[in-house]
Amino acid sequence: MASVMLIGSSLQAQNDDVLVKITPDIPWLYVTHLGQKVKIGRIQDTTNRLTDDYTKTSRACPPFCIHPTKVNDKIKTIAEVEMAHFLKNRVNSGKGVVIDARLKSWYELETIPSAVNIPYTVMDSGTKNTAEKVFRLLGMKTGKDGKWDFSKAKELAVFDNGVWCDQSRRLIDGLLKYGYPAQKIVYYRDGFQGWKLLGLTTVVQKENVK
Amino acid sequence: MLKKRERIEDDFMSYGSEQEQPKKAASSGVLSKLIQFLLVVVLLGVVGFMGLFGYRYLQQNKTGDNTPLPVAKNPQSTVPATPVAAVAPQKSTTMPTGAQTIAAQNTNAPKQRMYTQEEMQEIVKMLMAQMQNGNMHKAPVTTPTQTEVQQSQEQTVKVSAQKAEKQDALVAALNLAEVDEIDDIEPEVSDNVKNVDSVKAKKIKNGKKVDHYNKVVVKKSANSYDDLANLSMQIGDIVSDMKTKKDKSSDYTSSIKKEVSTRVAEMRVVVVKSGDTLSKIAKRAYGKALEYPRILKANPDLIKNPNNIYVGQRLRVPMNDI
Repeated sequence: MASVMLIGSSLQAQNDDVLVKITPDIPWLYVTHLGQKVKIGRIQDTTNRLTDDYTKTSRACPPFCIHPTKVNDKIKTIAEVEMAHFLKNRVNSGKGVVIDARLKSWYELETIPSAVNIPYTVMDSGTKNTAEKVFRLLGMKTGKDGKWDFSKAKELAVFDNGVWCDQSRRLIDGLLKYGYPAQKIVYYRDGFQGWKLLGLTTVVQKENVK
Repeated sequence: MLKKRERIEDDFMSYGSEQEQPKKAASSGVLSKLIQFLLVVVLLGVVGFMGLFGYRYLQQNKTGDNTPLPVAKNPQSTVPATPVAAVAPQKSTTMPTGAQTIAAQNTNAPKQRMYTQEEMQEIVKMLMAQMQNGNMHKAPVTTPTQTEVQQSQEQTVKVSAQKAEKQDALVAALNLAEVDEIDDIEPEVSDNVKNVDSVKAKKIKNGKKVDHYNKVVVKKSANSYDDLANLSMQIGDIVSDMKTKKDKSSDYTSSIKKEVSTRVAEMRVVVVKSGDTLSKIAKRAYGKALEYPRILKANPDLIKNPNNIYVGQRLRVPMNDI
């Protein structure tokens, strides 16, 4: 509690020094990724532009088509500000997890800090058994009647490459198919491209270094 | 002879008077008409040549000093697109208006051209020196682009065919596109970030640097895992187990895999080592030192100051041209 207060006060003190904040109240925030503390902030150079990755405008549609706002009537769609709050409040308290629905190769290349990778293929082509294993890790318990109890299960914020990417929808469909409650899932539609476009911190596991 | 001249003079004096004409016409009508005709032709010719040369002179002035900058840049000048105003905007405060402006423009025009030639010679000299020295000096290849950029920033952009040949096409294009000026932002990188190679390197080597990448390189180390890391690893295990059992690739999966390989090629980086120059890096990344423009293209913040590389910096060196 004291440490939270301390962090809060230091944030307050340095708040005004940050030119590019995440929200007016949140200049940056901290999460952990693979046990490492990572500060999520935005690139402070106001002239910076994306140059290399995620500047690509066009991919063949189908399969890479522009997605509607909602992936599903039951699933709430969120944006970066909600993501920031989700990371700050839900992820750091252990109540929520950010889920990267992309293939492992994408995830290792670059992802949102703290994200856990559940490739959509796990639900798409996996069995109920695999789904159960994943769900248990996410906090699902088996009730006395043998039914799956999701009351303690984590809230999931699912994302993929962005508006042109179908991987979130596929994962969410799979999660729902095996019974994960819709009210515990949110869809971050802008996805990784939206994250990058705002200059937010990313984490890299496998770097292609020459 | 004398009579003849008198007649000519008479002709002149009485030109247009209808009374005299019939008398003179009888004796020397053909000759006087010929001379009149010749005089008119000569006069017309002189006027025409003057006009032509005057026009050419103006045209030369225009092509010499005209710039692609918008006229609105200098609100004080009343003459639209006054070359002096565009070339040296700092003079605009003391600049006269109206006809005086044009006079100032004419006197300044040759000076500006001389200056450009000197600049040209300097650039050529530097280029020659660098070609001779090869890779001996630190960042040799990058020096010309830097001077060019500085020059163009000082005088804004001058379009000259000769110069355009010498100048890197990309740098010229970027200059025309009015590169943003990076404001000095106070370095405010938190001390709390641990194990972050990219940020570390910047902090040690160049405290004033702004992180353009905002990428944190994380490494797996089981002894520091928290609950979230364990969750991530356990789910990862399930995923990799599944992969070995079943590798059913749908159409969508195969196309998304193609996309990821494109991205791997785009994301390739080089970590700057001690003693590195852009050409050395280009040699390492592409096999040819002369490929360094590709690095500039992928890292536009280097174009302003190509010497602005530092140890530990991660430069983008994409496989595919972007």
